[in-house]
Order: sequence, then C-alpha cells, then structure tokens
Amino acid sequence: MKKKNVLLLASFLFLLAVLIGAPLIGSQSLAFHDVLRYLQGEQTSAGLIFFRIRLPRVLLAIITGASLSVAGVVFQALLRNPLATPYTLGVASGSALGALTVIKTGIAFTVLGFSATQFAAFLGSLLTIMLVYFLATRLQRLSIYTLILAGVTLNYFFSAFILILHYLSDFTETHQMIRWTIGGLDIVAYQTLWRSLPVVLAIALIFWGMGNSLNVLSTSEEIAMSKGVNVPRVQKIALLLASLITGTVVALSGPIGFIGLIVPHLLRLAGGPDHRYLIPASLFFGGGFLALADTMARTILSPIDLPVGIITTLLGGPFFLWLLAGKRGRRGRDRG
Amino acid sequence: MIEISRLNFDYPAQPLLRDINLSIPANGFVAIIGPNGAGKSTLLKLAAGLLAPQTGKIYILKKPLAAYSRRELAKIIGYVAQHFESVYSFSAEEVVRMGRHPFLAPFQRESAHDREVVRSAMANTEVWHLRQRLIHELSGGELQRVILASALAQEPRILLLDEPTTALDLKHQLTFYRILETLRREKGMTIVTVTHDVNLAIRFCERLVVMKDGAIVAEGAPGHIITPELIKQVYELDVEIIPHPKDGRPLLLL
Repeated sequence: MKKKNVLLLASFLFLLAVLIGAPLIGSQSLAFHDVLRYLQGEQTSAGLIFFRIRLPRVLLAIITGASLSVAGVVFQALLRNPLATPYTLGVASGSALGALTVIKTGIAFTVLGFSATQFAAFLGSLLTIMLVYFLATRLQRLSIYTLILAGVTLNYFFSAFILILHYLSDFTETHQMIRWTIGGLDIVAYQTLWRSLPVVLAIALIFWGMGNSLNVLSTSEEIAMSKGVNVPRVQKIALLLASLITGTVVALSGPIGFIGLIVPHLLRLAGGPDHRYLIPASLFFGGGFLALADTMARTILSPIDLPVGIITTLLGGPFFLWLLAGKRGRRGRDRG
Repeated sequence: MIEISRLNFDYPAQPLLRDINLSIPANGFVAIIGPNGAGKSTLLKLAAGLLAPQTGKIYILKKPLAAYSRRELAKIIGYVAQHFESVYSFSAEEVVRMGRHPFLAPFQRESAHDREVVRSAMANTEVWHLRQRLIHELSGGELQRVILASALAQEPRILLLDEPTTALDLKHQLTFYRILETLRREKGMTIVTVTHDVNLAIRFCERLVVMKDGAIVAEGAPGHIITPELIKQVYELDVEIIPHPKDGRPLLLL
C-alpha cells in the first residue's frame, strides 16, 4: 500500500484508539469491562463516568482538534505558507474580544443551548471574517498579501481593545478572561456537541473534496488558473469555511494554540503535501492528538485539571526547536 | 486556433499592449520574439486567459475566450510558465498529476486512464525516471520538462510556453525544442512559444511574431522577415545574417 494510505489508515486507527481509551484514563482509572457492562444495561459507576463525564469531553477534544488541524492545512495551502495557522487572519482575537467582553460585563443568557460567552465569541469571529474580507477587497485588490495584512491589522486592533478590557477588570474577571484565552475543554454537554457537529462535519467534508484544487492552488495562482481552478471562488470559499470552522471551535473552547500548526506540519513531513491525504489525515490525527493532549492535561497534575491549551503551548516550543535542528522527514523541509 | 483582434492591455501602473491583431493557425509552431518589455509574456498570458484585456477580443477555437469556464479552457490550453514556484515539496509525478485537475470532480481519484496520460506525458518529456524525486531536487532542465509534462497531462490542443528554455543549458534547450516539434508532428498540437533565443526560434518555428514596445512590428516566415534592418529596428543591434548550412534559414551572427 502506498505510504500516504498507510499513514491515513494509521491516523484513523489512532483516533479510534484514543476515542475508546482516553475516557478510561483519569483521576480515577476505569476498567473497560465495567464500561461494557454499562452498555449491557448495568448501572456501573465506571460506565456513568465514561459516558456522562469523560466521553463528551473527549468528543469535544476530537472535534476541536480535527477542526483546528484541518483549518491549519487549508490556511497553509491558501496562504502558501507552512507557518500559517487558523489564527493568522485574526479570527481568534475577534473571538476573544467577544468572549472577554461578555466576561467583563457579566451578561448571562443562553442561545440555542450555547452560553453567552460562546455566542459572543462566535459573533466575534464572524465579525472578524467580514472585516478581513472587507479590508482585503475594498481597500486593495484581493490577494494573499492583502489578506494577511488585513488579518495582522485586525489582530492589532482587537489586541488593543482586549488590553483595555483587562485594564478595566478586577482580579476575578481578569482571571476568568485569562482562563478563557488559554483554551480548555471543560466539561461540555452532549447538546452543545450535537449542535456544533453538523457545521464541523459539513465543512470538513467540503475540504476533503477540495483536495485536488488545494494541491494546485498551493503552488501558485497562475499555475492553478492554468490548470482549471477558479481561483477567486476557491479562495473565497476555502477562507470563509476555514475561518468559520475555526470560529466555531474557538467559541466553544477558546483559542487552543499550536494544533493548527503542528499537526499539518507533522503530517506533511511524514506523508507529503498531497491534500487528498493531508486533509483527512489532519482530521483523524488532529482529533486524536488533541484528545491525547487533553488526557495528559487531566492526569499530569491529577486531581488538578489543567487546561489543554497549556499542554499544546508547551509542545510548541520543542516542536519548533526540532524543526530548527533540521531533522528531516522523508519529505525534507518545505521552503519558506 | 487563436484569434486576437484589436487587443489593448494595461497593467495597473503601466500601459503596454496597443491594438494587437494576431492569428495563430492550427498545428502552427510560432515563436514570439522581441526585446524585454515588449509585452511578449503579457500577450501570452492574455491568450492563456490568465489576464483579461481592457479592450479587444480573443477567440480560442472560434469561441470567445471569456465564454470558456476555467476547466474547459484548461483542457484546451496548456500553459508552461517561466518558473515553477512551490512552497511545498511535491514529487515530479504529483506535479504532473496536477495536469489532470480539469478532468477530476471533487473527491474523484485518478483513474487508470488518468494515470496512463500522466505516464505518457512524462515518457514523452523523458522525465518518467524522475517521477519519485522531489521537485526541489531537480535540475533546471529536468524541472522544465516536468512542467511541460504537467501541461501535456491536460491533453491540450494548444501549448503556450513562456521562455521555457531561458534557464537551460545548450543541450537541454535543443532537446526541449525537439520534444516540442515531435509533439506538434505526432499530436497535431499548436505551439506558441515566447523566447529570447532568436536562432533557435528561426530553426524550429515556421512563423515568427516580432514585438517591440507593446506592438507587433513584423510577422511571417523567418526567411521572409528576418533581415538586418529588422534586427536593428527591434533590438538596436548590428548583426550579420547568413543562411544556416543545414536548412538555409537565416542565422544571426552577433
């Protein structure tokens, strides 16, 4: 079997293993057969913990990890830059502004089962997408350069507002804000999961089908056009969807860092830049990876529950060091 | 094959092409030559649909270029750019496979036919043995032939090449043009190439289009139009012209 397909299968199996194994691990170890007995109708405490408490969190981790990873792949293809992340165009800052504003003002309500913070965070990301697009198209001809510039601009603007918010907040509020910014997969209800799943699945599926076009587009716009890619349309759709999927998971869990950068990088080093492999692999491996990181977050300082954003950020530094040290996978190093 | 009439084109900060009228016949092997800044590459990109003219019309196979979708156009015109830039390390075969993009629907994988087209394109350009190599590891000549193979994989009827041999050594320049000539003969392709090498263009092409300052100053068979006066007018150079010992066509001596 070709290497890419082997890696794809391995990623899928990895995901399955994490899906079944991660909820067994925690401050209280669960025995697998106890969980099985729960499935057969017996009310074991192991089963309850597995299905009511741990599994939703693992599922959220998988959805978040998959979304951020696939968004990372798409941004890296569109922006033709292997250091691009889902947050390069400012979606995370806009989301943060929304969430932190709610935390500061203490507004509380629920919309469609989502909390005020989550809702405001999502609105913030939508606002960012619209602003980035507006800035990049109205002020200049739309190009990758103007997009990045618009994203950087918005990042600065939003960061300034966030600083003001922090300054005006007391300790409790600031503490809450910082916790949100670190990014964590706190216990979430199944409802929230089911409501977010359709969006994530639909976008993931669309990206999976765009593999061919993304391959060509990742070389240059001119080459892509000459090979039949409707460049403006593909760019707009991909950017919009990648920002949307990012905004969705950031609204739920905060801006968890480095997943959208590390996972695409690792997969590309291992199996090459073919997006028909990269996209599904990033979904499987990214999902399993974050769930694994979250399991570490839950157990390293047990019974203290670390936010998973700390683990992923801790991984960031060594990852870049490893890249700098020049270790080459089969595919060698990408340029730029 | 390609009809261009009354075409004008400006870049945002720079006016360029004025009232271009050009007709490329089927199965032709045409070279566009001229000094830097004459607008040769721009004209080629316009013909390939990569740029849109301000005024004027371009017809491909008797149909307006604007009426083609990108996919349809990619099945007719193969464009070979001067450089192939890619941030990501694709293999040679993966790059050639990109040429099948216009034929693949979303989610669709290459069929046996697609794979055969790719293999044949790489065999014709003598790069099949390089298929697993990463493009960043290839030499200039090898990369250029891979890019050509990628365009051939589109099974185009028209090949547009922008200075394809500028970075190649002598031997590879000749090999490249021989491959083009073979393609024209055996597959009936129409080939238009922008080139700086006037002598090579004269050797291989039966028609030249000479440009300067955004306009076409001469057009026709090399034997008819290449004179010292024309070279002086276009390149501001004094040259000797003698008949080539092998085919009698003009040979420029600097």
